[in-house]
Order: sequence, then C-alpha cells, then structure tokens
Amino acid sequence: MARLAQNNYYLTLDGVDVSPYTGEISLDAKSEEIDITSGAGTTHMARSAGLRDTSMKATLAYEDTLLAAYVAKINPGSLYAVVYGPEGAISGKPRHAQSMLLTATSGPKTDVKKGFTVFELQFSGAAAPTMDFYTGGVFP
Amino acid sequence: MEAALAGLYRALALYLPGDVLIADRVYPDEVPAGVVRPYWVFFFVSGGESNDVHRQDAEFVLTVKCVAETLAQSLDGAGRISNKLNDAGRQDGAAAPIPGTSEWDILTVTQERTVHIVEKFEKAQPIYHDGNQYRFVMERK
Repeated sequence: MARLAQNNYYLTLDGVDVSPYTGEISLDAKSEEIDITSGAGTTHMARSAGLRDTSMKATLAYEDTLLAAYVAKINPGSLYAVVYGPEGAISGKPRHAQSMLLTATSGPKTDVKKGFTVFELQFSGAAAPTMDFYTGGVFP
Repeated sequence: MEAALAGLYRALALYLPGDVLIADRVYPDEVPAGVVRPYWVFFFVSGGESNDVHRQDAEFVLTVKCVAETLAQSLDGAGRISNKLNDAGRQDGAAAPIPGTSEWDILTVTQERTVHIVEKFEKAQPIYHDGNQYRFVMERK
C-alpha cells in the first residue's frame, strides 16, 4: 500500500499513444442531483442521483519533430476513443475507456521569453464509458 | 551515457573557439596558468533536470565571459560571445546553431544577466571580465 506518486500514466486518443507528450491529466466525474423532497412538514432536503457525466483535461507538450504524430488527435469538435490508465496500461491496473468530445484545445501559446509550449485539452464524455475507472475498470 | 552538463561542456568546447579575438583560447571552469589574454572562460551557475517532459531534459545557466587587459577588448569579447551564443539553439532559428552531441539536443540558448568585473592583478593592474549568463534548454535525443 502506497500513495500514487509516479508519472507512468497512459493516454491514447483513437489508439494514438500520446503518453510520452503528456504533462498533466485530470479525469473528473460528477453526478447530477435530483431534488426528491416531498411531504408536508418535511425538515430536510432529500436527493437522488441523476445523470452521470465525465470530463477530462490534459496538457500535451508541443514536440517540434513529432507533432505530426498526434496533431490530428487534438482537433476540437472531434470525437475520440479515449483510454486512460493512471498507473500505465498494465493488466489489472485501473482503466477508463470512453468516447469523448474534445470541446477545446488551447495553444500553441508562444512567448518571447521562450516558455515551454503546451496544448491544453478539454474533453467531455460523449457516451457512457465502456470501462469506468470509478466503478473499478481495469486493463485486461 | 553522457550527463547533460558533460554534453553541454563538450558542445561549447567545440562551438566557441575560432573567433579572431581569442583563436582557440576557450576554457571550461579554470584557465591554465600563463595563458595569454584575452581568452574566454565558461562555468556553471545553476540548473539541472527540469522534468518538463518524460524524456530526460535539462536547463542550465552558465556564465560565459571574456577576460582581457583592456575594457575595450573585454567588452568587444563579450559582444562576440553574444553574437555567437545568444539565440543559437536548434529551435532559435540561428544560421549556425550550436550542435548538440550524439546524446543531447540543445534547443534554445538565451542571453540573460550581464557579467562585469574589474579585477586588480599584479601591481594593481586591472583585468577586465565581461560577458553574460546564458540559459541552455536541452533534451536527451
């Protein structure tokens, strides 16, 4: 048992492995809440779970000699088959697989001070996950 | 496997000599006794692995300066170093970028702080040091 503190994560977009270029990845899930409070004299809210939703943010380095390998997979408005493994793509390790809509790509942003140039990607779930990290999905 | 700093030192030792002012008198860290001035010397200031990408990468700041017996010559040398090194990385668009090594790619070279020292030598004779600190961004090939 140990806290996770490594960078051997795995991310593919339509089967293109972008892990070597990836800086940060954040997979986020939420559930809508439904107010089901009822009855007279009720003193507390009652809620139930509504639809679930998943989103993801990732940063990718701008690799000058390798950009052609993945630039077609960071095109906003496209649906991509996303596979994410926070501990790598090792059998038995957590896996999230889902069709996601790339809603925004920020970058390349360049500056005269020669800062590190990255792309910031924002994805929203486009369908139910075929393998859900939050329900215990793992690599086969 | 070559360390990043070793690669940078090796690249500079090959890239810097040849200027008409100093010929091959370019030295890393320490200058042998009795060397004729002017000469250029470069040495480590700060830096190391930057961990910006998964590959091994590095960012170093080195001082590169000209040491001469007159202020005019020292400042001339600093200008020549600047002309040769500033924006001389592979991604900087230089006409003759600094070649890396077989293991290290030197992406950018950026001129930063100015170095100016007046050293009193034998019989209070002034020796002038002029140059700059340079930032080197590198990645393992």
